[in-house]
Amino acid sequence: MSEQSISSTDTISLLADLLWQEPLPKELEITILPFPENDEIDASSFIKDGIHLGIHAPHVPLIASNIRSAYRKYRSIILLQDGNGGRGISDDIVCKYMDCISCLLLLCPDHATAWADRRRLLQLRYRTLKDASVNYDGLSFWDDEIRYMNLLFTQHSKAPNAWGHRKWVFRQVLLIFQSLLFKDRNTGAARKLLQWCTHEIALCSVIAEKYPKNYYAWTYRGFLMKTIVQNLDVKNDDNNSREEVCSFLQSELDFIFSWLFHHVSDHSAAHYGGEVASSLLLLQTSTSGKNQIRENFLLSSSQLLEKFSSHEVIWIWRRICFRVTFDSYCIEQSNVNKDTIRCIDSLVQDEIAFGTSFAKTSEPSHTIEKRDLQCQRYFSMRYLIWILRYALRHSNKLDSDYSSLHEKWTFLIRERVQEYKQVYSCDNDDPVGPSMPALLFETICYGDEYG
Amino acid sequence: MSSSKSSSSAAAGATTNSNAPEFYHDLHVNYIRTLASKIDSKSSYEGAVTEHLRMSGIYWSLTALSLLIPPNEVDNLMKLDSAIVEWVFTCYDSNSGGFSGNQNQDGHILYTLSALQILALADKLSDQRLMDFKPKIVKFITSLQQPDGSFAGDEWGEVDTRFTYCALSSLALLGQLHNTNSAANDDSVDIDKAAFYIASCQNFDGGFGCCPGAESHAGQIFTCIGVLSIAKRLDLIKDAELLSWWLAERQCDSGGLNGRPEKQADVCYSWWILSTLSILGKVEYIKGEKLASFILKCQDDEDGGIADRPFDMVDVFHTFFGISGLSLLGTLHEKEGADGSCTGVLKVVNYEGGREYRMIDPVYALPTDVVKRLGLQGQVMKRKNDTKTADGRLEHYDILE
Repeated sequence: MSEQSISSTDTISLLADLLWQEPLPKELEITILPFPENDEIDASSFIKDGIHLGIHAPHVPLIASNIRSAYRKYRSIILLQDGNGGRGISDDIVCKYMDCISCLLLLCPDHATAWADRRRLLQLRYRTLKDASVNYDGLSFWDDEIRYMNLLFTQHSKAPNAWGHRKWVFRQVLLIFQSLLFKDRNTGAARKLLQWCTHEIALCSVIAEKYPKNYYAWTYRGFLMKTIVQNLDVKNDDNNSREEVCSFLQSELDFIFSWLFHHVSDHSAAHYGGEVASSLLLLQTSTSGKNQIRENFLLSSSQLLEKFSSHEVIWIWRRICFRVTFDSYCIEQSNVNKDTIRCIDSLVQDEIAFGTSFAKTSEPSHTIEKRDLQCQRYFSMRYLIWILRYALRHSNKLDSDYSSLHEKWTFLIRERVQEYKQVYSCDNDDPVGPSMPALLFETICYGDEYG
Repeated sequence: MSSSKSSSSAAAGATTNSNAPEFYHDLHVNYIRTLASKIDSKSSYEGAVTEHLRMSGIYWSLTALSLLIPPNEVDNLMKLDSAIVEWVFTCYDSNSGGFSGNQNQDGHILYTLSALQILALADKLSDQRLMDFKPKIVKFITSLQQPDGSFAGDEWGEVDTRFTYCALSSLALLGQLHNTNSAANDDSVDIDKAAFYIASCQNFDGGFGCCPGAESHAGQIFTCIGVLSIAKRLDLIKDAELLSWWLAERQCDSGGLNGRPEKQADVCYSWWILSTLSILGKVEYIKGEKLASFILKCQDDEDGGIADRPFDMVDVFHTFFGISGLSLLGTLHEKEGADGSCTGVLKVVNYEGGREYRMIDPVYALPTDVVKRLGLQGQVMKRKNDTKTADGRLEHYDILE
């Protein structure tokens, strides 16, 4: 590659100008651009077309090198001048440093130190604005940062430090809301917080659609969900707040029900759905409300399995549905009597019947091919063993005498394990994966804990 | 070549089938040896976008190489004793007290561990500079522990179970792990609290996530089980059997392992999952032969290195974890029979009679001889129907009865 054709400062100026050019960019792509004809960085190394911002991938090494030179220079200036909480640093330097970091992170989104420096500069700017105006509420301050991060995530959705920064920004916003909520039980503030969280959740959906099963997006969504539950359900006697939170959780659950139909292998979504359902059942006070939630939960799973019975994640969703339902009965049982035991027994029996119907299907048809049928059979058999094991291990949460249930379930799990081993030995292998050796099931079935 | 014990195979059926490629030992050595010059080249894309985590990159390459060639050869090839160690110390951040990913950056727990691991490989943990920095490093690590027992990565407070693993492993390498008495000393780490926090990250499916309530992920599971092993609190695992089942279900048709249900197999999970199963005493839950074949198919048979899956581009991260996976499976440690035949089926290209590979330790992700030399402690679970762990590499650890 030739010597750098333009200076570090020019590289940053070129790119930073595009970041602020109307219409503001919303999509970033590092790719092969059509125009650059040689190795030198110039204006054609970057392109902005409406809301789309592109960086020429072959030029990235030199662009990164240029930006880093500037970054190191600014960093040393800041460290030298940072003797008074940063207040001695000129605005010009702060702006240029921020632009430099913005450009660097577009290429290296997991650069922990760059994110740290960015936070320092944001804190400095925020403090300056707050010092200048007592009534400064600060919410709008974070708009540009959110916009920048939304842009970054269109290209780099798997950078842990980028998500860490997003969470940090959210916490700064949350502090503002908590301060407003503390001053008075201002339902306007509560509504705004919910709106803010909803926007953040919408981002998670956009990212999850573009980058399926994105661990960070779904984990962040879970963080937002818990934040809403913790911050809005502030008093047990505030029914409005509780209803609003329950409504939010129900809408999230409905979203998952629908999402899984179009993203049948999205385990992250299934896990999140389980967390939402657990929270919803905890908040729901009426028995009829809880029963409705449980019914819809299992129904959604049944509908999915009718269509996608050969998919592992859809069977795991069934495990989640079973677990959440089972646990919710166990939590209630301290207030109830034998009805709860009957509900649990009925749940397990119904699930065995349900799972068995899939396990027993023996012939491929026009609706299910041989390979899919094998998958369906093994997943359903595993499901039956899994739920029986779960029920056995967690039945000690039941205050009542569960020994008769225990005996029945122990018999059933042994029966299922035998059946699995028989089918396994005929097929000579579990087609959905070479695992599940007999040893595993021997341990599950005949371990000391089951007597 | 420093000899390593030949182990009984760590996994049932760890020998490869005849369709699996050979292990391209010399190619991988050459790939790693020439990596630095490629990465540091001005035209290197990978170098440009990973500059901030160079410390970890060096750890991966050195440890991978350490599993392939003896220590003195590692030093000769990589100038470990001199250039690399000197460079590591230039990455010490006196402001924070930790090591950074590259020069003139902030200290972070991730790179602090990588730095200490490099120094351990080089046998430089008693270097005077480290002795001088040690109190500040310990203070840096201690300061990262949160009230709930979790650890942040740096002063900015982002919590992840990875950071707990890095913290405890770092303290162990510094010989400071058990110099704790949280009641008497505010500057100490509360190991039990750290362990309880990790335990709170266990999900209903047996797995662990990055924080309580987060989705189970094989990489996070390793960090959590690693913490509990180092803290000797494997008893806090609510359901080890279910966890082992979850891990076993990660094996795909291809023989490779994925990190979560219905994700693609990736070579790096050969490490995350096998190391966990080693600690849990359940390596046989994975079909070793198929996994070994998968890893071998991910090799670049021209330039060396290992990729995440067959036919993809190689990188040092997957090269390290692929080689480590083969080590944990026992594939690298099959002995040649008296008649010259390889009992393990595996043939090593340019195999020299008598070559023995160093083993990787599943708790500390360092060669076992380094772990033993440093007297690092940990805990493992007893293998069923066995009075001791099946693999000699774990014999110095406590066993949870």
